[in-house]
Amino acid sequence: MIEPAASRSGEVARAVGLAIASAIALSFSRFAYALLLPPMREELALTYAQAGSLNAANGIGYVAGAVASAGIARKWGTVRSFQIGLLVSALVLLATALTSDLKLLFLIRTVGGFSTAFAFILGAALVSSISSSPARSGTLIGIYMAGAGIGIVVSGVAVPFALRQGIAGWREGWVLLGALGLLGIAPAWWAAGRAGTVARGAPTGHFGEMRPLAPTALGYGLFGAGYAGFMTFIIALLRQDGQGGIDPALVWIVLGMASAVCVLLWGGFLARLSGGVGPALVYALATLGTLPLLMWSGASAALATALVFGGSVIAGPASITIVAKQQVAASSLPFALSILTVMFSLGQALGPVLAGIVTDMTGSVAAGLWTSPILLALGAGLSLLQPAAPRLSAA
Amino acid sequence: MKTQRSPGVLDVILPVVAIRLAALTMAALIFVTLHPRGAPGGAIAARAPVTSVPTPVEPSAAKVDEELGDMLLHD
Repeated sequence: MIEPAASRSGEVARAVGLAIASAIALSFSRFAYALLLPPMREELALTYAQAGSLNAANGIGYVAGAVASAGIARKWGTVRSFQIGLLVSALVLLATALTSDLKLLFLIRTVGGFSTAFAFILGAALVSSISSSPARSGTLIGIYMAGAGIGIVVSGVAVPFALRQGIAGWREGWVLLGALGLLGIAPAWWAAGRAGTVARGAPTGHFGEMRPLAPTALGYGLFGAGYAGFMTFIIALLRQDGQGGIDPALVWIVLGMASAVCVLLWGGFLARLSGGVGPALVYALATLGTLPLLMWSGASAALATALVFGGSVIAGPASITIVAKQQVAASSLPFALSILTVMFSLGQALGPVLAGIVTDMTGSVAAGLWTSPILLALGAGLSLLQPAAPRLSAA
Repeated sequence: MKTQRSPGVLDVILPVVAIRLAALTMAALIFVTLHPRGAPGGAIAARAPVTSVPTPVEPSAAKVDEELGDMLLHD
């Protein structure tokens, strides 16, 4: 899986290039929708459920893309599949600005989810293949994932710039994000072309083998629903309530910075926990992170949420991966992670819809967002039911 | 709670449920972390089976990095 690299600086440069994929796939395509949702909802007269369903479409597309990516990568090659996925992802951002038709927007967001799954998942595989040593791999992966946090920061600067002249600027916002994405294509393609060879063994595994992971799988699904609902509507809440005059974009930027920094810190700590304690801790902190914004007004509450929530949710994938490695044989790990990813993606698709429905029912964005700590806490509780592994993973 | 209109049933129920669940979760997490053998996911209890396995409990730095390497493949 690992190919030698020419130099450490070269490795870092390639990881930074590939990190653009995580910025486009996660931050621009999925998360930045929260920044553009309020003006889109206003101009297109969307209900909150409809607004949530547009992000759910992105999640559904992501599920399909995640399932298809391995097969397509085998057929076309990992690098080419990644490059096409990334290009389509950037073009979809531009296309989102072209229409006001809800059905078309739903279709575009679905295609965006599908293509970003290719870009993000295959980008992760490529960055894993860069390092010449296992000790460097973690650092490079951290750089790759930090790209998502940096992307949140960039979108927090770019979208308010696009919206400076009013709600009609939402189209300009998508165009700006698409243009930034296209600018990143060249370095990302360059990095992909110089990554190592991604080794792919024949994955094994069956559903019966996954039974011990049931608490983790269900918990991860609830985590996906809780975090996605919160991320989708947090800006809408900040705009609705004013939040003591703090700029919602600033909260967004702090959230992104917390994610970028904390992702580098979580991995080693989580690896020292067993059973479901790791995911439960991550989800519980994310639960606590949602509460300040929901319970209190003011800049400090919003910033506390941005720091704690942003710093914890980013560790969700790492936490369940470590549990899976402890619970199943190494040969079955890809299958186990696929199952967990599907659960997460389904939750991610349903969470914004649930929050939107509750918001429409109550007329309060805060009420819709209260579903998030409930889902996150339930996810944490379920994760705690995960028995410790009868053996350590043989990896 | 932040509401600028007459609160409905969900406005009242959801925060109460969320805060209680959050408190319960934190309590359970602390209990499971501290209690050596009291819960299926017990962090300390989990180390007991290790006595029959000739591998170190604490993963090496390289192992931790390898796990990090796998973590993103399936986000």
